[in-house]
Amino acid sequence: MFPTGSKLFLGLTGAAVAGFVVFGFFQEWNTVGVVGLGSAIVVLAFLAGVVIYTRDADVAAGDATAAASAPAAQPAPSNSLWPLVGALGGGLVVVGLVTDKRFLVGGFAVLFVALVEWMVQGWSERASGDAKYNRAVRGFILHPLEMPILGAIGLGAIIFSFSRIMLKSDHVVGPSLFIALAALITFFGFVFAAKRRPSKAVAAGICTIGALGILAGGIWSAAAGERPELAEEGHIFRDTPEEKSERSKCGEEVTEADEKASGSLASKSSISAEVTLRDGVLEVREFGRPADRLHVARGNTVNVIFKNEGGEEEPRRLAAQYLANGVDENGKPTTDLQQVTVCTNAIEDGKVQLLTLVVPKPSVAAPEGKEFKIFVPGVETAELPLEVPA
Amino acid sequence: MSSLPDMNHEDHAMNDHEESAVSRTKRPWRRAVSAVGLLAGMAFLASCSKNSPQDTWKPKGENAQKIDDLQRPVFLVAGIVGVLVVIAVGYAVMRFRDRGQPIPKQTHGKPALEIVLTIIPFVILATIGVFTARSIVDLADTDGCEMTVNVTGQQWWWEYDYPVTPANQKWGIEKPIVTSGELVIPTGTCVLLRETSRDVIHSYWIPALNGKKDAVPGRVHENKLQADKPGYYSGQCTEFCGLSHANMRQWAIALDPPEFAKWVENQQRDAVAYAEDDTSPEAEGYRAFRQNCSRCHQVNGMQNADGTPTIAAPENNIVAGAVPNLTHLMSRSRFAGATFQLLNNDCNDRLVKAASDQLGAIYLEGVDSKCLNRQQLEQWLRNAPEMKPMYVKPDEQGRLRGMPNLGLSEAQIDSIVTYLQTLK
Repeated sequence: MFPTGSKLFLGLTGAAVAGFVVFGFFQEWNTVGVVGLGSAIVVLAFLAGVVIYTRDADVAAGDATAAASAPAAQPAPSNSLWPLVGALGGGLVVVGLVTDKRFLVGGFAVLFVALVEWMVQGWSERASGDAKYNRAVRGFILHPLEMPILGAIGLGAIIFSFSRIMLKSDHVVGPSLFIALAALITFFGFVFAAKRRPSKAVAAGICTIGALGILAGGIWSAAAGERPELAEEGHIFRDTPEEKSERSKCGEEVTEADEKASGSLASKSSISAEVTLRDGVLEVREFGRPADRLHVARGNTVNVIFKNEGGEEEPRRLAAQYLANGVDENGKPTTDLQQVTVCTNAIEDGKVQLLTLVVPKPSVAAPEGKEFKIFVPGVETAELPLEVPA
Repeated sequence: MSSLPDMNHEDHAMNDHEESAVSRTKRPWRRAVSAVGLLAGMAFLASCSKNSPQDTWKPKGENAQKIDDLQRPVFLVAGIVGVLVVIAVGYAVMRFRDRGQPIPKQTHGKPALEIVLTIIPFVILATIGVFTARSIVDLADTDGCEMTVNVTGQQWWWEYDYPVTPANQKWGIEKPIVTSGELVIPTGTCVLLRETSRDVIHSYWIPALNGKKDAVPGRVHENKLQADKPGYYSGQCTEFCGLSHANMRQWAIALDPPEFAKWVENQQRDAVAYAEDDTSPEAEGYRAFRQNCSRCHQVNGMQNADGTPTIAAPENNIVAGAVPNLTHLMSRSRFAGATFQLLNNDCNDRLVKAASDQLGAIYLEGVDSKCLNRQQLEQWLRNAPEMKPMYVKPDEQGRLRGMPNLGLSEAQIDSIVTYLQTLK
């Protein structure tokens, strides 16, 4: 009387009824769970009724055509990997909830992709009795989405990997790599141009090997870390309001991961001056030329490299002192002048730090005792004027 | 006989047909010849321009000469190649045009010819490449420069800052000089320019003295100028930088070293600070300037009523955070991004057309009351954005790009101009 499929839903309905009664009785019929279990009873009973009515959707034995061509009569689709991917996404979500927001977002993204892919796969494999047509239908729907996204991810991975390689490579290895890569590309381009009918498979193989090589190099470089002089720049203070105040104090050391290193690379490529602490005094070289002060144009962004060659055990930092407008409660500048001190982090002997300055006021604005200057805290003799013309 | 008219008619018809066919084949040639003639005529006429201060073919200094030495043979070779290609294409078009002949046998490739046609351009380009690379390296070498000027671009004017460096001290610069619009340099001297920008990308170019170099915010690019003789050299920002890009001009004034020394000496002087109880027209203008203009414009030496230095705060009012320092406005010949003449036409002609041995003396005279282009200066104070398009809508912090209409009264304008005339 009851087809096989309906027994499952009838059993689940019975379990839901039992749960509903027991849970309701002990919870005094006054909780959300009662509503949920009641809803489950209704839904499961409805599904049981549908399955009984359709007799488990069995194709009649006498309908030979339907038995052979109906989607339901086709062999079961192959196993899908998407549930596994979905599980991975679920795992990432859980990890992300307790660790890092990025895992959470990534997990949701993986879950979403798995859901869409699995749904379309499940639908397309039953779209008709023709497996080839089903594959074409799937491609028609998903390829316009998959191709650009996969292309962007692939390109992004290669670019990112390449950037990791370059951040790891020093000034000898970096250009050598560029030259070698350019030579290889030229060589293979020449070989292919010389052939009348270049093999697509060979071209694809070379590109794949090249891409995998860059990815592998990128992974290794990322794991090994950026070259030392870049990683040191990771101590530069960030420009958040809290850290600005912290920076202004030039007090307690603030350290952070080396994520800022890439950002400082551009600044380091355009240095206006090098300030070196040597034998207890500061030496300035502006664009390679010695100077007796640090000259900064008003309102310009100026990058200064500080080198600690003092030969002391104690780490030293470079500080710059100048005046700037105060800020009102709405964040707008006022005409009141405030003394500002910015500095690098303290670095050991032989190390290098970057200091980026934007000085809005001319040095002539400074009253006595608040002269603009650069100095090394703790070394009284290490002080030079900071000149900002009006 | 009766058929004659018909025959004539047919002959005429035939002749007409032939004529029209001939004219159809000839007309395109006539048109082509006319077009080429017109273009050649235009090119010829354009090459005859005399008043072309930014002519890239008239180098006036060592660096520009190096560029010229490179570009002339390159243009010559390119011209010869261009003419040969045009002749070859014309010959092929004429010789093998469709006249109903059978299609010739089709062949693929002619290795000897292809190799020759590859080797010839390779040799030409490689030769040009070698000389170009050498010129680039020469122009990038700033080690021998004897003077340094920091050049900063902002919408829409150039600032020149002469820092106190050991090299500049040899020229008498013991105190930073900040000026705008006109770069003053000594002749026969390699002047190192350190170019940057306070807002968007600009590009500095004085064609008679060197090639162009971009001024990029957050970066400093080195360039160098050298003028052989005293002169008044024109330039133009060559990177589109906003509404008044076309009005962002620059001039380089090359002076003989002794005259340059006089200019340096003058530029390091502070302006006169008038007493608060002084009732002279200049003092009235001084106070009017301080009240209306000194929020943005710095005049070194100006004092507040309490005797403290008046410090402009352009960073509060202008997006770039800087406006021209006017301490020696009347020692310049132009204002507002070097776009407008401070000198009236007669005095301007006298300066621009001066012989090189007289230019320095004329330039150092500055702008006196007889030469002042007062009408244009007053017009600028009356409504600056009307003369030079500038963004009048303030940003989120209430800062502007360029000088706004200050709503000054005629009396204030008159008074301020009177004071400005003292800034020499």
